[in-house]
Order: sequence, then C-alpha cells, then structure tokens
Amino acid sequence: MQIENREIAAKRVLKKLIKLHYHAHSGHIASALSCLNIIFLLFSEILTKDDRFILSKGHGVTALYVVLNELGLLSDKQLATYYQDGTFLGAHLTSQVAQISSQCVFGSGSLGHGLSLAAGIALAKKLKQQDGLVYTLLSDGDCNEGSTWEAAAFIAQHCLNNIITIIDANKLQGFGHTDEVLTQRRLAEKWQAFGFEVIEIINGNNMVEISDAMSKIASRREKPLLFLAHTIKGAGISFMENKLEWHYLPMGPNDYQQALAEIDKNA
Amino acid sequence: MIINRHWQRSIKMRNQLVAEIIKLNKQRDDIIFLTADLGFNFFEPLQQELGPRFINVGVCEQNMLSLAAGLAAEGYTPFCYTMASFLSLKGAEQIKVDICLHNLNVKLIGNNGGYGYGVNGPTHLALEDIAIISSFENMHCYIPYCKEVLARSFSEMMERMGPSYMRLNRGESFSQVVMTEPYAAIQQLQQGEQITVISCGSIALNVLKAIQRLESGVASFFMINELPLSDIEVLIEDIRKTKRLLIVEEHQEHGGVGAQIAHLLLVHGAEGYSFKHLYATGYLNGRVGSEDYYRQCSNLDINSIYQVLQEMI
Repeated sequence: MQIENREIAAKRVLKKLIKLHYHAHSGHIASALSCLNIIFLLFSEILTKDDRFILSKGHGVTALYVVLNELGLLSDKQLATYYQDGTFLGAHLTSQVAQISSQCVFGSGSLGHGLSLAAGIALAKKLKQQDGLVYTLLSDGDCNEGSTWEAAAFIAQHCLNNIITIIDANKLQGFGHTDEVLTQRRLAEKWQAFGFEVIEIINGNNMVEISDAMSKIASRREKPLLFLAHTIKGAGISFMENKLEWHYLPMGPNDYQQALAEIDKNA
Repeated sequence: MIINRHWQRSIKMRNQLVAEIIKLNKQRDDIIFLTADLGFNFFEPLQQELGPRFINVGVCEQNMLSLAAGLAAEGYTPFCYTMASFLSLKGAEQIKVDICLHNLNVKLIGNNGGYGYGVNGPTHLALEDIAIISSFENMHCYIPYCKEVLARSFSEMMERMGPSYMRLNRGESFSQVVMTEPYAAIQQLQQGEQITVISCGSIALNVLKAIQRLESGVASFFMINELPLSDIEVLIEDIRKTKRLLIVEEHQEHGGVGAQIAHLLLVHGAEGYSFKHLYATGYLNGRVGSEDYYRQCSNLDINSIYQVLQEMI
C-alpha cells in the first residue's frame, strides 16, 4: 500500500474504532488505540495466508475488528453486533475467532497465553516443515505473567525463529504505570537475555516506523525475533493519551465529538 | 540403580501407557508427547520411539498446556504429562481456555491422582483434579482402575476427538474373573441384591477385596471409568433395587464421582435409599505417609470399607 493511501486508510480505521466504542458504550479503547496501527499494518501489508496471528492482549480486540472490517474480512453487519447479546464480537476475542479470520486461530482475554500458543503453532510448522510465520501481539501486562517467560525460554531453547513477537509497550497497565507496578525499563535486555533478537520501534504508533522495522523480518536469523514497540496508550486521541481511565471508561457524547474532530483536523 | 518398592509399585499404570503410545506411534505420525520434566526410568523408551516428537518442556506446566493447544490446532495429537496435582492446579486456566473452549484434541495425563505420591506430601497429592478438570466444557475424563483397563481406556480416548484427561495411579491387576467383564464407561463388575457399590480408579481394588469378604450376591459393584456420566440406566435401576448406595473414591468430597452420582440421583428422583460416601478426607494437617497410610486415615483401606459395608446391609 502506498504510504499516502495507508495514512488515509489508517485514519478511516481510527474513526471506525472511535465510533464502534462510542455506540457500544464500551471500555478498553486506549488499549485498542495503542496497537491499532500495528494490527492494521500486519493485516494490510505483512501477513500471508500461511501466517497466523495471535492477539495475546485480547482486551485490544476492537482494533482487530475494525481492521478486518476495513479489509473487507468482517462485514458491517457483523461489526454492528459488537458488544450485543449473542455476538461473537465480544470485549475479548472468543474461541469462535476462526469465524472471523482464518489467520487468527485462538481466542484470548486472559493474559499470558499468547506466546505459548504461538510456540505450539510454530513448533508444529517446524516439524511439518511448513511455510508461514506466527505473529503474536503482547501487552505490558502479558510481560507480567510468568507463563510468558516460560514460553520465551521454550521458544529460545527450540530456536523457533518462525515466531514474530511484538510487544505493544505503552507502559500503562490495568492499575498504574509499569514503573509503579513492575517496571519494564530493561525489557529489551530481558528478552535478549532469554535469547531473542530485539528490535525496538521508537514510535510504535507510527506506520512508517513499524513498517521499516518489520521489513527486517525477511532477513531474520536463528534467533526468534521480537519487536519492542514503544507505544502510547490511547494514541491518536489527545485526551486519551497516557491516561489510565481510558483503559476502562466509555466515551460520553462530548468525548466522542472531540475525538472525531481531532481525527478530521489531523487528516 | 536402586529402585525402592514404592517406586516400583506406583509405576505400573504409566508403564502401560508408554506401551500403548509406542504401539500407536507405529501406525500414525501425529503423536507429540510433552512432559514437564518427569520421566526418569520410565519415559526413556518413549523418548527413543518418538524422537523429536517427545519434548521435555521443563518445569513449565502452563506453557506445556498452551503449547499443546497450538500443536493441536495445527493437526497434531499432543499428550501433556505431569503429576495430576500440578496438571490440574497450575495449568487449570490453560486447560479451560486454550484447550477446552477451543475443543482441541489434547490428551492430558495426570500421574498419581489421589494419594499416589504418598510421603511426598500435600504439594504432590491430587485430591481435587477430577472436580476441577471434569468441570471444563468439552472435557472427557478417563479413570482406569488397573493397567488392563488402562489399555482399553486409552483406545477409547484416542477414538474420541477433543480434550481428554486420564488419571493414572497404581496399576495392580484385578482378578481374571473381573477382567472378563466388558469395558464400559460405567462398568458393572459384580451383581448383587442388597447394596450398590460404586468406585473409580485404583482404590477400587480395596473395594473389591472388601466386597469379596461378603457373601456372594450381596453387593452390586460398578466402576465409573469415564466422566461425564453416561449410559446410567442400569446403574440407576440397580440403586432403586438395592436402596443402599456406597461410593468409594480417592478424591476429595466435592466435585468427584461421589458428588456427581449424588447429583444424578437427585435429578432422577431416586429416593428412600441410604447413602454413604467414602472419600479422601484431606491432607492430615501436615502429617505425611505412604498412600496406604493416607488411605487408612480416610477409611479407604479394605477393613474400613468392609466395616461400612457391614453397617449398611
């Protein structure tokens, strides 16, 4: 996708996300904003049909819904069921995810599962000598979970370099900044110590930077590759940026209008 | 190498399991065996047989279970092996979410369910595993009571696609007479008129020995080999006939076979019968001992079971 078209499409997706959350009166919007551009880029430009994607940070799922909708993989009608009784489009990714995308095989919602699931798929691909990479998107909270580090040790031990791990490091977790809870300041070193090759994305919300970083996937070597994307929680909507409350709060009418106005102004 | 008597006695069921998997692996190439750092002196032949499809994942139960879900999603049939206690408690959420909610074909093997690890103490004992694991959606539990039945349970488990849990324990053989009874999810080992006795797993050998002290034809004896309960009609009819029911299991009081049968009877409106439940009463406030010691403390030894039988008839 040309960069200019990509930016236009990204704005459109951002608007969809804001509308989706507003009409559903749902929370977790800042978590979705944090990783929206990463997911958009993955699905629009990077993933192939042989690849798999695991959204370990299931609470950011609306970013996935609007991206799939933008790419024509999820109809407007399906998207409109979000948050409604009986929907498959919940506040976290359900186990029926395969009905939404063939590349997403696992639901999520409880943190600390994604990297192990990715390891299982990647190991299967290695054993069968199959093509395709397994992408997984983790949050800061995922990196709190012990099971994530169990998976990290396993992946390095078994040289599963067909896993591409991305951390949406927005440094604001469920009830505080990571520095106040469990600091992530030496996160890159921790992953390196576990045996990963770490590429940091300084502005993990910037499409060009994400894209540049991911262009290195093709030249990866034996070590499993990890992108540490430094992001801003609530990115793109000024009053939501780096604010804990937008992990939880639904938008009111004024918030909604202000958010839309900001997007239009920046367009 | 010195192997003590306890060790030898407790390995029989899992040795049978190894034999079954090796046999199966000759016919198919989708088996992957994951162990959470257990296997000394019993998994070596399996390791050799499976080669790269045998993986010691390390002491990482949670990773093992999600890993298995990923492997199953790609068409493999993974086994996850560790102690029944670690399997059911450390990895409960991975079993619920990654394996069961996605209805994946993962075979969980928990060793030494009940008091099987004896003197190793409460961390290693599994009195809650059936309650926890059988409560998960799509899960099917297999509780063989001897190594011969394990072979049959294993083949049933492999026939069925979906999440399975097999609880291993001792594997002492039952008598040849008993083994001629056909395998079923609920298997009647003996017919009788005065009392219905239900058990599951290897504690059933104690129950059988207690029953054999009674006159023949007194006790009907049923084994619950699988959960959820199915094909219950003969069992319900038997309880209606005898009006006396004793359930014996090496599991804590709630959520096991006893509680599930009791619930079933309420649903089916069976009434006016006397009911006793012998179960694993707990962890003895820090005192430890052999499996036989724990069993005795819970009135699960032959004499105690016999005494309860006498009181009831």
